[in-house]
Amino acid sequence: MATPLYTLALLAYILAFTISLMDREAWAGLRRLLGPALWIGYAAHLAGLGATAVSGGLAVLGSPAGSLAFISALVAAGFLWTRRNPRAEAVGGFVVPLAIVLLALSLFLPGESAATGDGGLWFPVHLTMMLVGLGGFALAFGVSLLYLLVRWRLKNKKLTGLSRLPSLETLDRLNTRFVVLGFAALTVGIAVGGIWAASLAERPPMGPTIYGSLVIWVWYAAAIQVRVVGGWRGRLAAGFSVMGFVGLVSSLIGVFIAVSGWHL
Amino acid sequence: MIGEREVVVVGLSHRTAPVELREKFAISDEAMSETFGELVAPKVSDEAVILSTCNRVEIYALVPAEDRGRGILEYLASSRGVRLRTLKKKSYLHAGQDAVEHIFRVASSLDSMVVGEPQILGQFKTAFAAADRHKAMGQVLRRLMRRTVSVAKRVRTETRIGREPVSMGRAGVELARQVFGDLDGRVALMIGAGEMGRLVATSLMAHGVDELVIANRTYSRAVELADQFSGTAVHMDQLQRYLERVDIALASTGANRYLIDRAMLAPVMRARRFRPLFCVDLSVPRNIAPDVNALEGVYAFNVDDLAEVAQRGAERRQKEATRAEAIVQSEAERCYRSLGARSADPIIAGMTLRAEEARQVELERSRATLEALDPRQREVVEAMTRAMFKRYLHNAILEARRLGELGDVDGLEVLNRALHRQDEEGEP
Repeated sequence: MATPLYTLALLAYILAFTISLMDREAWAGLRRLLGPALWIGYAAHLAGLGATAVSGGLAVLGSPAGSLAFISALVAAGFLWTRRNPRAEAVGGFVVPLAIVLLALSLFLPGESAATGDGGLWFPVHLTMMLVGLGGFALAFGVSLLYLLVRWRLKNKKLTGLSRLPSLETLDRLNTRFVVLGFAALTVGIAVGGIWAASLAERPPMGPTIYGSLVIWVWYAAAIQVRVVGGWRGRLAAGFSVMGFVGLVSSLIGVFIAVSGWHL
Repeated sequence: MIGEREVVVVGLSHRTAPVELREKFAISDEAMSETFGELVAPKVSDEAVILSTCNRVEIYALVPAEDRGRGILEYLASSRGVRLRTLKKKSYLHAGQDAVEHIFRVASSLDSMVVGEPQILGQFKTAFAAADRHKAMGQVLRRLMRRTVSVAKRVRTETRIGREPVSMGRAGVELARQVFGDLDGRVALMIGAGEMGRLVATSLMAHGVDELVIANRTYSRAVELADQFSGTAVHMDQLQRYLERVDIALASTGANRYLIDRAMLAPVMRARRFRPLFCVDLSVPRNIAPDVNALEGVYAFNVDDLAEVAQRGAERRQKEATRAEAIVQSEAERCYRSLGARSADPIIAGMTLRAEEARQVELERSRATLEALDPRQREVVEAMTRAMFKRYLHNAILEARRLGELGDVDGLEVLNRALHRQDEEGEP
């Protein structure tokens, strides 16, 4: 049941992205379809997640496919929230493709989870928080790429059509918000996971995911430190988000290939 | 035509008359009451709205169809002591759909000196309110003015006509916004007192910049400008210190050397923790070294960059104006048709009233029979007779609206008489 819904969401996102690329006046009427296409896609996406959870339990969202579909939904939600500012519409050009890629990948990755879903409330809180964390970092990545593009155009005097893009300040602020959201969720997720593991009679082994999560946590903690305490912003903050997410995705792909799930 | 009336525009603008003539026709707030009193009078107009700005004086009025605004022209010429021939040569007169289209174009800022400027819509609303206050507006102009405001808003929303910068000042504002977003609460430093620098500073202040710091080689001149802009005057040797504090730096001096260079700005940027600094060099020869742009956080532009943004904005506005004209044209056609259709309203109301009277007469005639029915059956008879009359009148109402849209007063009269006669003949 979930696959047709995810496919519908994917097609709607692709349609929305294609419309967002249509800059010519002749297609101005089509741009009105952008919002409805996004919302239809998002509704189908949520329905797909709901169907996945109902059919296989929350544990299925911990599978590679379920996780990516969940993160993709968070990315789409983040963009829908960002769209409230009309000048931030261009963020979609960077964020929607990310949602598309993640959702498309989820259709080809294994849908079974090694996790049993036992563990009462610990498991859903741990899983949700970890995924929200990754979603926040994904959004920060998209926003940061756009920041670097706008900065490059300003520095190199490529000014045509620049007024359609968000200001550097807006993008910098969004980057900070998404990083802080991701970091807070990741911190709670790791803490809950740690407490849950400690409470188990047989402690799970320290696998690559746990080490990876800690490295990611340290990386983004440094990003926030540099921003809040050091006051550094702009290109440096954007660089942190881009590199952090690239590293995160590379290590995730490695983990999924090695263990077909999150943990050994 | 709207019944036996017509909408007209009589006016003078920056396109047709010099300021020496326009000022003679300008109507002050104090003179409004008297002017409305003379305008809304027999043989002149039934309803009137006056738009009086620095670029135009226009009167929108509902006048007898055969007059087509000549009464207003004569009134204006005689009240201002200008020869009618001179006024006719320097003014314009539009009637019917052309008048509606002209009003929409003016309110949408397509006829403004700077196409797309936003002030005109506010001036329109003020004119609309003044006419309302002086009870100079009836149903037709009220409907037209409401439509005008909504068309102007549609043009602004659906095109980018008001968003493209066309002056150096606005170009500076747009570039600053690309860095900072909102300019509220920002602080700008103006170095020198050049004309261009003052223009950009004025524009920045108008768009939210909170504080202006002025540095000048001659301190007394800085103080003078600081008074003018409600800013702060500083000595040139304090430049570096202030560069650490401000968000925007404008240079517009006659000096033939760099006043801000990389060696000076590098430590400033470190002290600012790379908080963005937007630099605009409006001087020729330049006063800000171009290589400061390579420093992290510095966004430096010169007079050519601003000119390019303004030039592109003007081209873009021209393109947007073409789209706006298409909106205005289709809206004017629709609006004028609907105003015409409304002229059939009294006739339609008369038809409906007579039909209802006839129905009541017939029901009264059958009262004895109807009283024998139970309440539900009586309700059915009521509903049925009402529906019969409604269906009977449907085509006649459509025809009346069509004739109204076409402004066919004679046709409306024939239809009215035919139905009236039919009613009379229908009487036993």
